[in-house]
Order: sequence, then structure tokens, then C-alpha cells
Amino acid sequence: MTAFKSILVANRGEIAVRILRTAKALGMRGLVVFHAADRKTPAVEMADEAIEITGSTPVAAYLDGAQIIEKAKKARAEAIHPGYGFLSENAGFARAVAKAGIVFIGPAPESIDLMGDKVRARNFVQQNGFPVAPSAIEDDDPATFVARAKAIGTPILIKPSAGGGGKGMRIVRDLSILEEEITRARSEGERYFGDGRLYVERYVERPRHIEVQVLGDAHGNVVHLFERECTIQRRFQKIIEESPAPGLTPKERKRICEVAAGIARAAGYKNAGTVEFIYGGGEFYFLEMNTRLQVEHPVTEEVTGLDLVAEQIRVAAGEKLPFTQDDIKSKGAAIELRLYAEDPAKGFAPMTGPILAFRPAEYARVDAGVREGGEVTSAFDPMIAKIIVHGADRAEAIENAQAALAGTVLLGCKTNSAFLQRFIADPMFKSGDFHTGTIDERPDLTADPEPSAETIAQVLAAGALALKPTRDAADAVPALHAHLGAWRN
Amino acid sequence: MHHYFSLDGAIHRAWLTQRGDDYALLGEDGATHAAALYLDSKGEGYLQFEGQNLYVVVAVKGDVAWVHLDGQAYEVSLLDPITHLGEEAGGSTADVVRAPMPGAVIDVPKAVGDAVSHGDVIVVIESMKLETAIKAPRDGVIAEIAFAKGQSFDRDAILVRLEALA
Repeated sequence: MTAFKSILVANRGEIAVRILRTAKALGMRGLVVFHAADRKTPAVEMADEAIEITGSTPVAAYLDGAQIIEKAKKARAEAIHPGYGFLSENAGFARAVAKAGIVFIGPAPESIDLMGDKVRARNFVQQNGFPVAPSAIEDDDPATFVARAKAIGTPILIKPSAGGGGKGMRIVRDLSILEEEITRARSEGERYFGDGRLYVERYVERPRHIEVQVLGDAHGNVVHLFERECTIQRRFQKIIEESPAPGLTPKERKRICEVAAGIARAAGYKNAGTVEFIYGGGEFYFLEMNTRLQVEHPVTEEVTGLDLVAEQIRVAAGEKLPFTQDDIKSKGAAIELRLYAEDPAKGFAPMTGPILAFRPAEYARVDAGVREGGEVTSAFDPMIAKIIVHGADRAEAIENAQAALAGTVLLGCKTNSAFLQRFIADPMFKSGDFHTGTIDERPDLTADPEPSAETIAQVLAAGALALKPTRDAADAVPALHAHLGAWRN
Repeated sequence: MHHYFSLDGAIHRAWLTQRGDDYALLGEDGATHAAALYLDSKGEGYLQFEGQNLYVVVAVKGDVAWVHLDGQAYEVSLLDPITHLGEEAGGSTADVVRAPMPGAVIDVPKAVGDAVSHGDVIVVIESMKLETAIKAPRDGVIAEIAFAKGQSFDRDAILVRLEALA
């Protein structure tokens, strides 16, 4: 495919590396912009051309669309891939790129606008006959509020319209006490926010986060590439993603994937996107649509064998999707584990430090944005790498994930690797019985276990032998004398 | 003689000595473990420990060694012995309390000249979005509180100094 002679990546880290890899494999020149803080990163080193951008902070540089478009024009880039985050869901940027005569590798700006407005997106999905969580807003018609709330069906979550932070929220499982609970929630709302207006919606017990990858071209073709389960989250950020979703029956899986493709089709969606759902108790509701490539897209690539970035480039160049829905098969099971520089035992606080050693496991796909000799700084998100494994089935994928985590060496900065190893070894994970609040419910898994006395002795021995002061102290006392000491045996 | 090490935040005592052609680690329980370390130029190799060969990767920066052993990474820091003298008896005779990590002071419930008991909170700091109480290491009188509320500091900075014991 020679759709474009050159593509500029308006991003950094592992996703810049990921996009450059495909651009080069397709015979295109791969360009990347970078802030000075990222000079010594793999993306800058592997790009055919790396163009420095500046900003008041490193993040500001990557958010400076006008500067990036200027650089792209100068470098004669024919297309810009925004990656995820930064400018990827900025409709103004997508329009400005097109205006500059450069192809934006992503959906039409109108799609970004529609899905970026959560209320509009929800109404659009509902009007097209797809499931959204039943809800009632008191302000719409205060006189019928209680009746409309009852019609939602239990369990019901009551929220103050002006609320936030969980204050004044009440869960109602028995309709006979609904009015009483509404009165209490109103009084709490007035007390906390000076505003007693309420909003109710169907409460999903033990919710799971399931999303579906979709892909559309400019010729009206839309397909789904199956689902990903992204339920395991901490601080509202995903850390383990997999496909297929272990919690779905085959029938539910088919239905959720078809609904996602239907939403994308109704929106006339082009390029890669993800439709996110909340799932619980056999029901699922539209949450939002992300109009970009996702962090966890490799999970889909592993089960379908497709290169999502290549498909994005193909579609952006105006080509037709080279397959139909029936051609796309999901094989085996794939899991992605996000390796973060953080301390799970301290509330997942981000950590920084030099990367003294980084040796990715050879038998796994490891998408990383750092290299040995680099550094994890506080300038960006603390994700170091994504470790992606595949297996004939989920059990085999979990085994491979254990081996890949244990076999990936990262020294110099505390990571969540040991926590991830404990988490996926737990019967809860193996059985697929989890929900979005599972990590908060399992402090036993986030706490660092005390190493065994033998492990402590082994690590201290390695450390004492490797550190110069302790080695020198040992060498200063000849072996003969050492034998006379109390520790002789 | 002992070296003091911090292993992932917990303090351990150990001494390394020569034994024959190799070394031995004298642990805090008095047990002796034959040990030798064979690494290539990239820090990869094996630890010979009580006759077993264990695959390790070791990286050193200053007085800190990072050890990858059996699928896990450990951080071993060699501590300044002066700071930790006297801790063996259970209490501490230390005059100073140092910052365990970089951060900022968010509260100072005590003042210079106050008498404090072991465990009293003198300063509250915030590091990496976490609050940590800095407590008196022993009974004594506060001689110095180095940072005021709102000020930031680096790792190992002296936060509090107690009047020296007579």
C-alpha cells in the first residue's frame, strides 16, 4: 500500500512507536514530532524524521495543533496520525489538518463533535433505538418525576442534579420506599449543594466495562472487530484488558457487537472507533464512543490478526475495507497488561526514576515507549509499556501473561508488575468474576506481601555483592580472619 | 559489624564477608549463607546462593542496587550507618528525621522547643499525592523544623532535628 508517501505522528511514547512501525512496514516515511523531554525515546530514534516542537510544558507542546500542522506542512507530510489522548479527539484540530491539505487519520470532525458531547451522543444513540441506561430528570417535568422514576425499574440510583463526589446518592432496591428515599436525597442535596433537584437512573450492580472495536470506510461499510473487556480499573483507568470478554454468553457477545456496529453505522462513522458499554445483570447500556485508536487496541489485533493502524491508514486514504463482517474471526484469547510506574500499595501513587534495565520478555508483544537508559518522569502519564499475550484459550493466555510479566525485567523504578502477577493469579480473575470496583474490594492484593526470609537473604546477598561499599568492606578482611569470626560454620 | 539495608522500605541488617574463594552473607538471624554473584556486562547472570544458581539481573546506581529475582524486582539501598545506630534496641537515638521521598509540608502540628514523645506527629508531608506523618523517633525536645507549611523538599532532606541527648 502506498496511500501516502509520509505520515507524521502527532504523539509520543509507545503509541508513536506503534504507528511508526506500521507506517514503515507499509513503505511510508514515518515522521514524529517530539518535545525535548522525549529526545532519548525509541519513537524519536526510529522515526525517519523527528521534528522538535516546543511548549511551556512538554504536554503543552503536544497539544499545540497549530505548531504541529506548521511542522507537518514544512516536512511535506501527507497525513497526520494523532494516536490517542492529546489532539486525537479534537474536532478543531481535525478540521485544521484538512484545511492545511493534509489527511487526518481518524473520523470526520462531525463524528468527533457528536460523540464528544456526552448528552448529544446519548440522545443520538437512544433516538436510533439502541440501549441507554433508563433515566429520568426531575426538571423535565417535576409533577411526573416519581412516576417516571418508578417506571425505570429497580435498582435505581438517585443523584442530586447539582451533585458530585457521591454526596446525596442513594440506591433504591425496593420501589415501596422510593418516595421516602427521594425525600431524603432532596434534603441531602439541599444541605450539601443548596439545590434539591434530583436525577435518577437505573443502577447497574457489579458493573463491567465492555467495549467494541468498530471500523468504517468512506464507502458506507462498517464492521465490528469484536469486544474487549476493560473492567479491571484503578482510579478510573484501565489496567488489564482482554478479548473475548469472559463474562458474556455467546448470544450476549453477538448482540453487543451488533449494537456497536449499528451505532457506528447510524453515525456514518469512518475509521477506527470504540463503542463503550456498561454491562451488568445480563443488560448493557451505551456509555460513550471514543473516536480514535485505543490504548488497548492490540488485544483486538491479537485475536483478529489484523493491523488496526494499517486499516486506519487504508480507510483515511479513501480505500475500501478489504474484508466483510463474515471475514473477521476472533481466535483464542488475548490479554493486555499495562505496566505502570506506580506503587499499588500506596494508593497506586505514580513513581518516577531512571530506567536502569529494561528487558521485555521475548515471547510476548511488548509495546513500549521507553528504553534502557531512559527515565520515567512526572511530565507524562506513568505508563511504561503494554505487555500483550495470546493463548489458544483464556487459561493459556493467563499462563502466558504470568510468564511475560515475570520475564520482563525493569529496574530503577517501582512498577505494578508484582501486583499484576498477584491479581491475575487470583481465583477471582481466573474465574472472570470481577467488576469495576474489584480492585477497591481487594486491598489484600494491592498490599505488598512480606518476602520470605530466604528471599530477603537472597536479595540482600545480591545487593551486598553488587554494591561497592559492602564488597569493599568484605574484601578488606582477609578470608582467614573472616573464618575466625562468630559467623563461621 | 553490620550494614543496614532498606529492602523495599523495610530495614534489614546484614554483613558480607569472604569465605574461601567466595563470599557469605551473615543475616540478622545469625544464619550464614554462602553466596557469589556472576554477572555479564549488562548486569545479567546468576546468584549462587547455598549451592543453588538463581537467575538475576542487577543494576546499581550509587548506593542502591535493583535486583530482578524470580520474576520480581527488589530495591536494596545501603543506608548510612550513622542514621541507624541505636535502632537495634527497638527505639532510636537519632537526632534527625529525613524525608523518605521528595514532597511538600502540608501541616506542622508542633513547634520548635516543644517536648515530644516517641511517635508524636511533628510534621505532615505530602509526597506523590499521599500524606505521611513524620513522627518523633524518640522522646526529646524539638530543636529545628526545617521546612514551613507549603515548602517543598528533596528526598533525604532533614525535616526535623531533636536536641541532642545529654
